[in-house]
Amino acid sequence: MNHREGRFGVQEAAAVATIALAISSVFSIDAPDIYADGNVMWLASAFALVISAVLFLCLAQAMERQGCESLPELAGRVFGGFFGGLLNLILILLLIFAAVTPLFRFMFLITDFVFIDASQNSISVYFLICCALLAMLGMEVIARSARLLIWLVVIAFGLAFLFAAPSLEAYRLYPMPGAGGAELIRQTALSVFRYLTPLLALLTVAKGAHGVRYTKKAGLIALAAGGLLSLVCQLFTGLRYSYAELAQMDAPLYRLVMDARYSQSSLRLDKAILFIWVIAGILSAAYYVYCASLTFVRTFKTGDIRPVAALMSCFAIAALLLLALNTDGAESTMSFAQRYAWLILLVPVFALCIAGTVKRRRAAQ
Amino acid sequence: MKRKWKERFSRLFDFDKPYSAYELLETESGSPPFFSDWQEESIPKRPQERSVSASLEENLALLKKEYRQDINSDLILRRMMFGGKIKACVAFMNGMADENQVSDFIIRPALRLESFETTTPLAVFAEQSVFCMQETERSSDWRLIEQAVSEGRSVVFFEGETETVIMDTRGFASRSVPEAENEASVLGPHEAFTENIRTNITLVRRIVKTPDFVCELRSAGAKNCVRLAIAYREGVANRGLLNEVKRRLSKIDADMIMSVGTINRYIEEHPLSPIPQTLATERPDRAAAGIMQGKIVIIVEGSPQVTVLPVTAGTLLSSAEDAYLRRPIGVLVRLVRIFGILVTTLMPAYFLALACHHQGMLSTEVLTTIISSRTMVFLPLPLEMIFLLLVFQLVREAGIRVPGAMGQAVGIIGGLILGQAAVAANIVSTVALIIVALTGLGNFAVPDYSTQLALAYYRILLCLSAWIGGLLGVGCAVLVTLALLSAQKSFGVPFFTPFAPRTERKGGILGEDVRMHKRAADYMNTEEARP
Amino acid sequence: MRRLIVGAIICLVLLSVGCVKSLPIDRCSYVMDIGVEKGERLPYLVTLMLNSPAGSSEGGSEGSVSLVSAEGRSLFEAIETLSAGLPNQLNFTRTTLLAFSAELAEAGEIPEIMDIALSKLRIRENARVMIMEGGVKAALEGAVSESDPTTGSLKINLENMESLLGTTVDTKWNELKEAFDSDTHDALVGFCALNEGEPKTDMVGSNEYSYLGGGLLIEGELKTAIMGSAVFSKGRMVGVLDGQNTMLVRMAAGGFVQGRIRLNTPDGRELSVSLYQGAEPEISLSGGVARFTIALEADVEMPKILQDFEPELLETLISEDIAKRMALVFKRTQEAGADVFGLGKSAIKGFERTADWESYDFPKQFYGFLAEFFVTVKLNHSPDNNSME
Repeated sequence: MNHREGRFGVQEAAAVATIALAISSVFSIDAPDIYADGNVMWLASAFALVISAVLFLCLAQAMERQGCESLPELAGRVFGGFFGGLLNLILILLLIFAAVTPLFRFMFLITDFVFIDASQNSISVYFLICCALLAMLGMEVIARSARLLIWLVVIAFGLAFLFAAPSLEAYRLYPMPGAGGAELIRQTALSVFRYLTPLLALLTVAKGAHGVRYTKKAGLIALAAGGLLSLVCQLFTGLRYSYAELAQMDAPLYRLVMDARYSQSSLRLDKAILFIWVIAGILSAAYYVYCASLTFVRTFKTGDIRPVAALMSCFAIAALLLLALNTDGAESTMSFAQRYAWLILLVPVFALCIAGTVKRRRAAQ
Repeated sequence: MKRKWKERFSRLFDFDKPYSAYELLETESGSPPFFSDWQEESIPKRPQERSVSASLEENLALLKKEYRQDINSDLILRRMMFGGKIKACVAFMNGMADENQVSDFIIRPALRLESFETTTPLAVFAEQSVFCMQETERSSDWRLIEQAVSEGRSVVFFEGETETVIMDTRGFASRSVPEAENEASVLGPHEAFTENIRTNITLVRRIVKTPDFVCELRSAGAKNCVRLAIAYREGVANRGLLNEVKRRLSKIDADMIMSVGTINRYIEEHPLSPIPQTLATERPDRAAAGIMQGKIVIIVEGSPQVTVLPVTAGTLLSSAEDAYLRRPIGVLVRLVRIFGILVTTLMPAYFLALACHHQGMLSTEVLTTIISSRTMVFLPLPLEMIFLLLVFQLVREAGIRVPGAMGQAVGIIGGLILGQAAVAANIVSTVALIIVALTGLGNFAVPDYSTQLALAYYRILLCLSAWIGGLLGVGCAVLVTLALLSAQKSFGVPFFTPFAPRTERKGGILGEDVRMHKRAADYMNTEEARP
Repeated sequence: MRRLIVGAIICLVLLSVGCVKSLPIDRCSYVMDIGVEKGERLPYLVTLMLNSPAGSSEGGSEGSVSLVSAEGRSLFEAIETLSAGLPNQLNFTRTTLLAFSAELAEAGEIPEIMDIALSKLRIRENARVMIMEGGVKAALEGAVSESDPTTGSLKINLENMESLLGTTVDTKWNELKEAFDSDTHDALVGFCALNEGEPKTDMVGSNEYSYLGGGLLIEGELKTAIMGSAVFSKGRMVGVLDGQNTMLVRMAAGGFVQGRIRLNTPDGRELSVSLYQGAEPEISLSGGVARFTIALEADVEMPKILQDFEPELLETLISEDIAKRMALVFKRTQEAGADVFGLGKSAIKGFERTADWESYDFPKQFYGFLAEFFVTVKLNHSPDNNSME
């Protein structure tokens, strides 16, 4: 079988999950929905981190208990062939969705602020080539590239925070909590989706990460590091922009960087920082696409992952272009997915956790 | 016809091969090909062995025929009476063998031998009791005999004996041990390898004086019968690595092998990658350091460089001097080198991206300077940059090819006068010239020659990406390059070890303290590190 | 065969989408400043300060800065008219100043221009905004000099006056936008005019350092000088504060670093005092009363007076004088409906739900607030602290 999973260590796994987590949580937000009634996102993110950690550990525990090497295997073992396959298909769709959402944001950032005359098609070709190539090269390559780029991405985030620091004021966080407890719970659930998806992807490639034990360690490190970045980002954007302004912004973090005033003789770094994030976004998209492809090949017992990875990349970019074309169907699908993806994710996750923990391990096949 | 097209069409989408057609990626066999069918590796067939005849005349006739003695006077066949009663003949190559050794230690003892009686085979008796050479062996394999004669060794045939005695009488003219020209070092040794394989082995053995240091001599697998030596420490070098190296070397079936560079091209697993997967060095101390760390060194006869493998990015970016510098100085030197690499690879592309697509990122002074310098220049900026990069390569090549002092003059002429003239003639702008000059300086900060050339390749690629897509193009090109390099392995060792994968705490981008260096690097997985 | 087909597909994909379009660096005119004011024949007169650098190929940068203007029914029309008349393409990525005329600001047209037109031009939101009295074109012309053909000197003056004197504000477009859209505060925007004509008093009516038309504050190459700040109530300019009053607002609202005031001693002598910010000012709201607590450090610049009065007396004198002036400024700005002191920022902290805040209608409630100013001044150099004694 040519699944190109390879072997990668804890640092590489943590790096790729951190990048995916940070990018997903910062650039996948539907601003008009989230900030319409106040800014409670930063608080919801903190709760979501804790809940995601608990769910992740439960899933890992279930995998260890069932003796599974990966998440698709757990689904198959716990729910049987058909329902396990169905669950895996849902996981594939969610992973592709997680891949598409930040790319969608980046595409519009690029066409709005950088290449104003460029079409979405031409930008998407860059995404497609890079994402498809990385996904086809395999998880080892994605993990190693993430390990190499992690400090660059962290520095990019750090610079954004540094530029924002002089303009922060506490009154912008108010009214607090804004829309009330129900909204806080809803946004926590949305944030759980954003934080948990990279960890689920990590569990999918747990075999390549030398087993569930090391995957757990990598996942917790990613949750801590990526979660911290995400939390600080939410806090800083909340302290810099009021909820009314945030509701009109696509990517407040980039606006933070853009709004920093430089001296007359210094170079402007905002676009360089944006493209570091874009590279991180492509890397995380490749990670999700690869994990989706691996789930597919394991579910349907396909030999070679490369054509599946190529097709999944094309599928993701096609979905991206459909969204960019503002077709009614695509918009409503995106809106639905962003509002209810957490529900589609959490129900199976809970089921897996419970069933995996309670059910007796089957005899080795 | 219809069936043929149908077959082709279905083959286009036929990716799913049976499991047995694939192998794990983690072997040194590489990955299954994407487009074509997986083929079994085949070891080239060796010609059938011919044996020595018992008849001396037959042997000599065959030898004369093989070496075209009627038109090739280099082959010397010196007949003699061994012990006064047995016909024998010494075959050697004029100019390759040391005639004094042949005369003094082979012919004279054979002729002065008085009548003898022995129960051992004649060849054994002659080897052990008559000939005074230090390195001898017996063989009846005609291929070995031919190789021996071609190498400058002497072969003695006996009448009625199917075994010959082969003795090392090599004494051809060769260079003495020179100074290292391409890898100069101030604090370290100044010796360099020569074209003589024995001298090279000796140079390494003078540094690695351990009993486990092994040098396996074998044929390189080419029709010009060149030898090579595989040098390593038995019990230290990873057994799997060693076997893989030998396997790849045994697959070589070449027309001609002239140097270690040719060997590298046969044994590398990513031949299309610009970055080398082996390190070619002319310094014995560097080769010895590699052997001590469990690496394998291949020494090829006729080549003044040797190959050290496996290599990583850190190996390619370190120089011989690094081991001899004090740590603070070493850290500074490495930082400058890393800066040079970043400048040479990224600076032209970054400048192009900013100047062509993101002018808002430039400060007013820089923008004004660039525009002022480009007045009347007819080439668009990207073409101007690519043109200058190619001219830089041209000047570089010219400087290498032109001998002696003129080479320096070419560099000066190309760099200063041509550059200034080109600016005055409005062919290029001063800013672009300065960028390329800095790029060139950064290029020379890279110690390894092959890596310098590889960076030139990436430089142009990044410039094209910057031209087409600005910072987006540069970012994507960098990502793809990093990914492809991450996928690259050198005999199973990933290229970016120990950064990705992170294998051990010590060491890093700034090197490590020599006092912490107690054993080989973790990624070498040496035999002595195994539990 | 397979390679050929797949290669052909890849080439088709790559060639069917265009490359990202590049702008030749030397074919652009970079717009440094944009000025918008009411036109004579058409609604808007747009003035652009362009930087079209040119020079010889041997180096040397003779910049070419030019001021061009055109009238139009909208901002876009005026810019298109200008573009048609210029050899190079206009590039707005380097715009750092947006200047609006006081007339336009008083008519409340700035928010519309900013939201619609300037967003489409992709101007950076950290560009500074200034209000110019009289003609913007004339003011921009007056802001250049022989030594600096751009408005760089004016911008540096603005920065220095904000940080060293505290007599103006350096407002960015995004800060102005925030003030327009939110109910938490109103904006002060840097105000400048030509150094000519009759001196005028500001909305407070003080004539201490009234914003002048006589060029008495600064004598130099620039004809355009910074005069204080323009006061906005939401998107409409409602008045002007001179330098001293601007400084007082910043002392109370935050952002003050250092400045200077002049006041009279009990025996009628004039006292000049340098002021520095101590702790961050605090604002608390309770029962319709806004309590401002301001801590300052002071240096008296006349040693003779310092010797004649007790330090505590001087501190009290200075603090009472500042508090009295602040109260007057607050009253005048409150009457104009401009919450430049930022009471809204404190008010919003008392709310937990967004719906409650939005239904509270703070701008209406603002008129009923009373303000109390508690200023504490600490003299840095008093006779007791003199090391020579």
